[in-house]
Amino acid sequence: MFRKLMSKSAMKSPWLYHINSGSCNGCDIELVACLTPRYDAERFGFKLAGTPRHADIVVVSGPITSQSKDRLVRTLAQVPEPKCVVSIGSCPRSGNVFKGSYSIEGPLEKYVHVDVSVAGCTPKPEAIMEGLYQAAQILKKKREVMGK
Amino acid sequence: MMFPFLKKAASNIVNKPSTEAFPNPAAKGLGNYRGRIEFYPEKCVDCGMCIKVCSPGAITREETPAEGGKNVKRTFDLTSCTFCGMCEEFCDDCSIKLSQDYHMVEEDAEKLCTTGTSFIKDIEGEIVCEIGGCIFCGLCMRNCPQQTINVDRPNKVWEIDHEKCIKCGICIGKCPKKVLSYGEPDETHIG
Repeated sequence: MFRKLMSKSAMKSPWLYHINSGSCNGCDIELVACLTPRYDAERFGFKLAGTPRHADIVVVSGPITSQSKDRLVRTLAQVPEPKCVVSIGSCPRSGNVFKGSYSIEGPLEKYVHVDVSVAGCTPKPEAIMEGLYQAAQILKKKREVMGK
Repeated sequence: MMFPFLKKAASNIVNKPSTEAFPNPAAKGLGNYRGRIEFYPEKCVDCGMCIKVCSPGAITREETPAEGGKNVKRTFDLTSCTFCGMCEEFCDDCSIKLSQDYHMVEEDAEKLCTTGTSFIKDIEGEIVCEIGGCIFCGLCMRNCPQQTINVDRPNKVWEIDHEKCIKCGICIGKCPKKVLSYGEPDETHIG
């Protein structure tokens, strides 16, 4: 019963973990703007977690540089199931203008299944909110499947 | 005033919250915001300028033969786009537009593509220039997306490379003297 209660509460408050894999910082500041009172993602229970072990939703920005690739893969492996991966901006999906560079090891799809992709360069905080909300819905479904 | 916040507190009882409403699918970006690409294939002449100026290479072109011409399918990959707006600026026919729609959130990245198929008619004849009327201003040379035209003003030379020419017709529209047309080169027409 305790487990049930835990899973029900976790459904209502998905925690975010943000990985910057070589992003230009544009998407990162928009994600932070998303948590401010103006856009207020926290009203849906989102909260930035300090460690990937506490996270439910992983937000990835940046084109995945060769320096950050190992760290990204390691961090993603630490996130407990069920998890949901959200890519912010064009970079994680394709590499954007850095595509084909010697130091880019993207796209993100090579390492993990991306559940929700938010397009834009950079996306508006409202768009990121929509992406996070959609991710929370997917997470809910995943939890229900896992609970059965 | 002793309690300056009282006025604000009283007004806040009736005011709406400063937090933005969610979800708000009708909301649009403000001012010159560049969002989702809209493509109007009926206006496209397939000059290829958008593909040339696209820095992340987000635009792809697929050609299939059709009766009396060809069908050209353009795909704008929004997960690759950097929304610089160059394609819109360089498009001579205004067939590309970056709208203010920022709701670009999908589970399936395939859906984040703008596609359009335009029919390009086969044109008989080549671009020719009427020698008498040309003032060698060079506008056709500057606007040619394939750099096929060469204009030498001091020596009064007008040349075109028919092998490279894709017959988009942009030069015909740009010519201030209206001396360019489709036809066959003869004594009064160079080409």
